[in-house]
Amino acid sequence: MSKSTRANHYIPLSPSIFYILLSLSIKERHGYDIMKQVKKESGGKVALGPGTLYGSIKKMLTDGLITESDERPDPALDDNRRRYYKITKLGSKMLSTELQRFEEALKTAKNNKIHIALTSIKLTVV
Amino acid sequence: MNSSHNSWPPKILLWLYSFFLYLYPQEFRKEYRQQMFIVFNDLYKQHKIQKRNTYVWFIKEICADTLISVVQQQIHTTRIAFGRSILNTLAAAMLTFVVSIFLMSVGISVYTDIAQGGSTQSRLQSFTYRHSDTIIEGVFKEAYKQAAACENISDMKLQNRCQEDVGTHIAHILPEEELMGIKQTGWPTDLFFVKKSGANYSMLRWDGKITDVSSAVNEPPIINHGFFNKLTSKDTCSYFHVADAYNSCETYTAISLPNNETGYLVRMVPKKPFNYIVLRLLQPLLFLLVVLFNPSELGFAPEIYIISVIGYILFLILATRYMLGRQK
Repeated sequence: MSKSTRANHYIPLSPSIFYILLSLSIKERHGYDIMKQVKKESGGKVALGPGTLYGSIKKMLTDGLITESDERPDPALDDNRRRYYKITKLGSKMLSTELQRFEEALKTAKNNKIHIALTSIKLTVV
Repeated sequence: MNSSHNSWPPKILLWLYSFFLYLYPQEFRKEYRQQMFIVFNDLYKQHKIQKRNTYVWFIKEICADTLISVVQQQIHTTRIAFGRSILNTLAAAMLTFVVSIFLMSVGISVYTDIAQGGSTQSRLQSFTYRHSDTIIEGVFKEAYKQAAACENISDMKLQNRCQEDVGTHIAHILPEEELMGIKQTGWPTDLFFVKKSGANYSMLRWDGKITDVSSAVNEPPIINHGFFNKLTSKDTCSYFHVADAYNSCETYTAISLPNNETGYLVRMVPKKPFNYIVLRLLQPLLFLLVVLFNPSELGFAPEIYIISVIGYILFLILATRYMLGRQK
């Protein structure tokens, strides 16, 4: 099975994978930075621990959604053993597909005049 | 170098987390062990800044995360190795081991909760003991001498008053205890004097009454087992099946008295969080050792036997399946 076929199984993305991809779409990050960003972006609703974080990272690396970056922090500023991760083209595509799916769902909700649902979706997605 | 690098978690947490990492599949551990340790340190530093309770944080966030991700990774690894059969997944030895250990931990946690659920324990929760260890042989002997004198009084009313006086008198000799932050003088209701004369045991408590408790006391060992004793400290007071001591007694101190008599100060003290965590996490392993080398040590807790036996049977069944699966 090719990486892109395997990656299609991700749609819809799980909250943790979605937020990890979202955090890496801004810039390259190390594990703890990803955890903080995911918590911030999700408003504290998705809190990853070290085990679940690296479980997801391992899965995403295998399926080619993210890749390890060559970047290492300046030893004078931070621990240079930290590994940095960046989003791949396939990962970006998955994220776009997922965001598109959200957008379509939002449109459908608007067309059907589901005002209450719309408000809550807007708060989450925008 | 960043100054925050100096703030390391306590050794016991580092040790426990290293142990947790060994529960992950080897391949995963090799790849991410170092990174997970770095994140663990980062989380600890963050937690210190927020000034939350370290052990609550550790159990709530780290243990829960480890439990979920270990099972996920083990299932994932065994799925790759054996295909998608659930039975084969369950048959993987490492997963079986993890399940058995957690089953036993749950069993022991349940037992500990039952043991601590009594009203005595909750009453004692706020006590801070400072001076009980300073109770000396003199106080002990004085208490028994006065209480014995009361028993010679034939008039019951006078005898009761005499015993009350003994309680009050001894309370004045006892050092001050601190109850919920307020200093007060008194004989703590959680302190018992037990005296061994020949083969007989008698108990004297705050109400000044001497009671024969020979049938409720087993010969307490004098040997100090050190660290091991600390871990199984609930065991120690199972020698004193008197009053409420069995449920919450953690310590006793032996005093040598003249005429080959021995005195014991039996104290009920609140559980310390550290001991509580160690009991929950490590006692399953100690249990194996104790059962192998000294089964009588655990005679007080049938629940542990039952839960553990279920765990071991499960382990044997699954391990056998695993071995048979490999042969095929």
